[in-house]
Amino acid sequence: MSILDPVTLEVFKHLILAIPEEMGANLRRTAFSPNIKERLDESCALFDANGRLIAQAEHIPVHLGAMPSAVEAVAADFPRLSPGDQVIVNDPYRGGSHLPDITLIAPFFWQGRLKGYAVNRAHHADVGGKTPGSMPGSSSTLYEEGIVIPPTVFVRNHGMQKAVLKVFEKETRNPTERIGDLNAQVGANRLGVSRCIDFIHRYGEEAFDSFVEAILDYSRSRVIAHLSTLPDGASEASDYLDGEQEPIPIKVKVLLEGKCFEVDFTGTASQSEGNANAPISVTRSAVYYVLRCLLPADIPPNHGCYETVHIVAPEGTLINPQPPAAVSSGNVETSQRIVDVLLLALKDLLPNQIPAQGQGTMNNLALGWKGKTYYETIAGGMGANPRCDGASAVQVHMTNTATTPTEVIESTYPIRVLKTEMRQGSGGAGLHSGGMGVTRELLLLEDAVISLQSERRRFPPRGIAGGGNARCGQNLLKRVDGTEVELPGRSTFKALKGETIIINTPGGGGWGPPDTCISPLLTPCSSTDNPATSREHS
Amino acid sequence: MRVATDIGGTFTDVVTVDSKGIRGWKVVSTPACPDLAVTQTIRTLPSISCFSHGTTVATNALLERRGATVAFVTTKGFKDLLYIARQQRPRLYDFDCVRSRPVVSPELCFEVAERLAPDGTVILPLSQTVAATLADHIMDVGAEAVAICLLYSYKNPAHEILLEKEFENRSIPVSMSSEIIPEFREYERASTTAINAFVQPIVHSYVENIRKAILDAGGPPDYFIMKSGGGVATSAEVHPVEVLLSGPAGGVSGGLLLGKRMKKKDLITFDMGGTSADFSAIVDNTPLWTEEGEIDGLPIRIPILDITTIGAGGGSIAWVDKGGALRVGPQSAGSEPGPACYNQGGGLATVTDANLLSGVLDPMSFIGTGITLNPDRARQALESLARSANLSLEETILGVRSVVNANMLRGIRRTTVEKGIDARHCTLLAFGGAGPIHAADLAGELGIREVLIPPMAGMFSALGILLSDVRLDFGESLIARWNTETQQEVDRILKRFEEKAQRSLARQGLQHKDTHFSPVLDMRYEGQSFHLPVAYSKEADMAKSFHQIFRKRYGYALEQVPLVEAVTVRLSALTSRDEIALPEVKSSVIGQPTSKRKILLPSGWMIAPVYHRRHLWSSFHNHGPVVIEDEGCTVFVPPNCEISMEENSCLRIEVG
Repeated sequence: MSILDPVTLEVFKHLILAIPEEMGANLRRTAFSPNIKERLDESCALFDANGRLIAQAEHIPVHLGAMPSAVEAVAADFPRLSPGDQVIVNDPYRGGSHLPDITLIAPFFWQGRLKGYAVNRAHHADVGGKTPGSMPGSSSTLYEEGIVIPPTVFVRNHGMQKAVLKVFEKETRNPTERIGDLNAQVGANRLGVSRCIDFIHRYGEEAFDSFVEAILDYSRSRVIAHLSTLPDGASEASDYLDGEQEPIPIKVKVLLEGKCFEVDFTGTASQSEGNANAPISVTRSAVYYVLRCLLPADIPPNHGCYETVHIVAPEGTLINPQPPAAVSSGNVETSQRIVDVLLLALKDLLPNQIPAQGQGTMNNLALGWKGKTYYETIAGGMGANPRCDGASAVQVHMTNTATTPTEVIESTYPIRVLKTEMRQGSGGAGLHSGGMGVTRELLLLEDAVISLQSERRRFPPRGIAGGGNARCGQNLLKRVDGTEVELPGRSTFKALKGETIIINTPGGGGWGPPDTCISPLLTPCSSTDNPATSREHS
Repeated sequence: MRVATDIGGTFTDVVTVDSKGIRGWKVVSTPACPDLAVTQTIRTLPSISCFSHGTTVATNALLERRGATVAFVTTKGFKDLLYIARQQRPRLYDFDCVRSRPVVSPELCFEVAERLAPDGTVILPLSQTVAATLADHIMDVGAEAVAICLLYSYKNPAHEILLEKEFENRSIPVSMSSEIIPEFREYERASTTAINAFVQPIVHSYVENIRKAILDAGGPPDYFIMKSGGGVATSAEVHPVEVLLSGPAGGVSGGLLLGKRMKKKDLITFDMGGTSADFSAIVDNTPLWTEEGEIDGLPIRIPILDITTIGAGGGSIAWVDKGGALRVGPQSAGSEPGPACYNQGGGLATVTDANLLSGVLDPMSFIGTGITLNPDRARQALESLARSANLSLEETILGVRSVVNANMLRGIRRTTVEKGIDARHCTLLAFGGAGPIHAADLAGELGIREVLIPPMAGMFSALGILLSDVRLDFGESLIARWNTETQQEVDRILKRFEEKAQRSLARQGLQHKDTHFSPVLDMRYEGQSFHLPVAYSKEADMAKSFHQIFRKRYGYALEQVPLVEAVTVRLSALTSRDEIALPEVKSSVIGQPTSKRKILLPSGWMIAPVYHRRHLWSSFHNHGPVVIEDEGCTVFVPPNCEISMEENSCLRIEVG
């Protein structure tokens, strides 16, 4: 296959990258789940016929590495799809991430030959299971968390299959909304397919094939060029999830050598009895996320980027569990901790490039009433870095979902939002201070089933280079009589009308000793870094 | 004499019309004191009867955070609303990301004990004493303006009004969210209101300076200002936040009016200057608006024309990245030092340098600015680029042109296909200093068959402001299931809007009978967050219209299960001012090209005739390649295209 000249490559790059962006815009505009339409918890991508990622418009880093596994599973199960077909999957052990993330995969063809796939993934508000929102505070098998869909043909010759729809009608809490969301997903893929075929029609099949090779080569060579500039070395670190009883360790060894970026999780805890297990696709996403942050921003994210990344993830552990382990918080909580531990290891190899720890959680809160569920994730502090303070009240690392406006929440659900404000004093002190977390108070206007999945309630986000730790998060229930009870990081319980849920989210760690003053012109050097303070747990 | 001016970064365009016809020219902008270029121009003009103006003064004040010291007041529990925003970080893969700085400092954000329910009923009343105490305190801390945004004020503004009165008694300017945008989503409403308060003093003094200059020159007591949503209104009738994107809106308004006169319903406007290219779509004689407008990361939820800006202009720098790809922009050499060929010390190759070496631009007649282009400098810059890209000089020249075109294609796709508009059925209207050079190539890539180059293409935004209708916009959130009751509510709101419009028109000295009212209902399926605008009429089956529009846009409709909701009622009132005829080309004498030039094309060098636009005749018709030089721009017609002279002095390129 001929490699394209630099001009054609650039021209085609713009044309092809625009396709998943356009799919995403369509999906958000037609979706029903607040997760998709307000919080933008969705991603769209194109793959070639060999299942290699060509282009991705991602809004949520946790989808980064997870889509290729889904395409791989579909290609293996359905080698003979036809034009107009789409396959559905959410099984975390077949390329899914957690059950609410539903992926639709549409092959596209040119003169009978498979040329690739248009794919989108979106977080649905509810996929059944034992609690509303399908994000239970505690669960020990996948089957408690909702319907598990292995790769299944959902659209055959442009028609949705009744059998699949029936599963949603029977097993989920708001089937009308589900079917609306699925329609939006099918529509987005259909658009992606038609744009790809238009491209081949206009420029030819050979041009398309050459483009795929060229763009993967291009990203690969840019990544290799950048990795080669980083200092060689190896470093280890561990960090912990709070755990329901005992802390759960995640251990990593990072090796930077030439163009190779190797990450070895040997020593990480065995898979959990709870739902903190992160399927391998989620673990991969977290590793890719960290790599992306280290790379120049303009490298197109595709298969070529990750070819020199090597991940060792022992089977049966927290970061590569085996079925039927429960996984619902692996995607949202464990993924954050994987990033934290990778950054801890990298800070010794890449002084002054790595920030202090951010809030390290997504503070998942789901509320359920009969036939209605509301789900949100709450912002916290970003870690400070050598160049600036950490941002306050933002989503960190593996997510970037937006708030649902108070005026939308209260118009739709029996909730009154009493307060959303900066949690003063929650950021770690430092020459650059960590970002502040948030205090959020929700008054229940009707009895509700509450599910909480949150972390950093025991071990605070750490400062770096002498900066202070942030404050831990805290979940409270204020009774009707005004007394406050502290809630565990993970729980599902029934709360009463008139009670208030109060979530204080963690801040971010500080950077540099708080009481020093150095010229802003000087780049602070790593000798101020004190591994002893930043490796300890409190 | 009617006058319009449009302030740009480098030049201020002036267009006038009187009994002798339309005339346009450029004067140098005065960025340090933006009204100076305008007031100086006004002094040189005889008897101004009507003055219209587009300005970037509010945008610049916002970008540079030079505005009033604003105090922000909101409902108890939400004082950090402007800082928490929608809790998103601006970039995903950046450890150092810094959020956009709100226009109010955190110590000037205040909350008051009051609460409304989603339907506007009072849960906790706002006490007069609380309001008065807060107002005193805000006066004491030295605020210069106040922005008020309370929850659900779009349903019931009573509490906001109570606060406003307290501040008015203390003579401090107030911006109230229920007046500026009475629509749901508290953060976006608060942001818009705070920005209005922030830019108000600067806009006010700027407006006053120009008003005085017009009066001193014997002109009328008020003048028209271009709004971000298109159309003009008298400076006394616009909210400061409404003029934020005043400049680019002029070109779109011009496109709209020209499209009507040329009987082209579906247009893509394409304005390419020195640093950026702006695109917008006009569908069925209606420009597209966006509800997601933002400047510098801060949302602004007033009607804003949906203009996509791409960092691609004549000054955009071409470079080779680490992976060996040829890239263009978004960095621009601007006007200082400018492209290499400006010979002002800029050594980097730009789009203008490539256009010069390809023979499309003439070194001697560039933009009518007095700048002579230096081909040797351009050649040095491009040769150096060619070496690092490992291409020949000619491949590099063509490469820069096609890469900048590819960047712009992405802009057009965002404007059209991502909004469900098929570009192939549209006419591309190209203007600005560099637009008419690239238009035909862009059209070819997109399958667009027709390109129009308007008269005065180099200063078309000013012409658009001159021609623009007077526009009033009203909107109010409703969010109710579509049924008879809702329809009655919609009718009541529309009646109120119409009365407001009539009062405003009377104040502007305009006749209500010349006004065209367009009522629009934003609708969606119950449960969705994004709506589609549906033209409203009492007689139509609105739910059915919505299903149809949804299907057209997304390829399917959900007619069975979900219910349809009315989200926001809008009314725009367009009143035309006296119609101005565009000059027709009268000469029928067939002329000769002024010269011939060698032009570099993908197929090799070709000889192309060069004409001057003012020497063209009414039956002018030619095959590409042709170059036409105009005041302030150059038109390039590639081979396999045809160019002809049309009515209204428009040039039409038929793309083969």
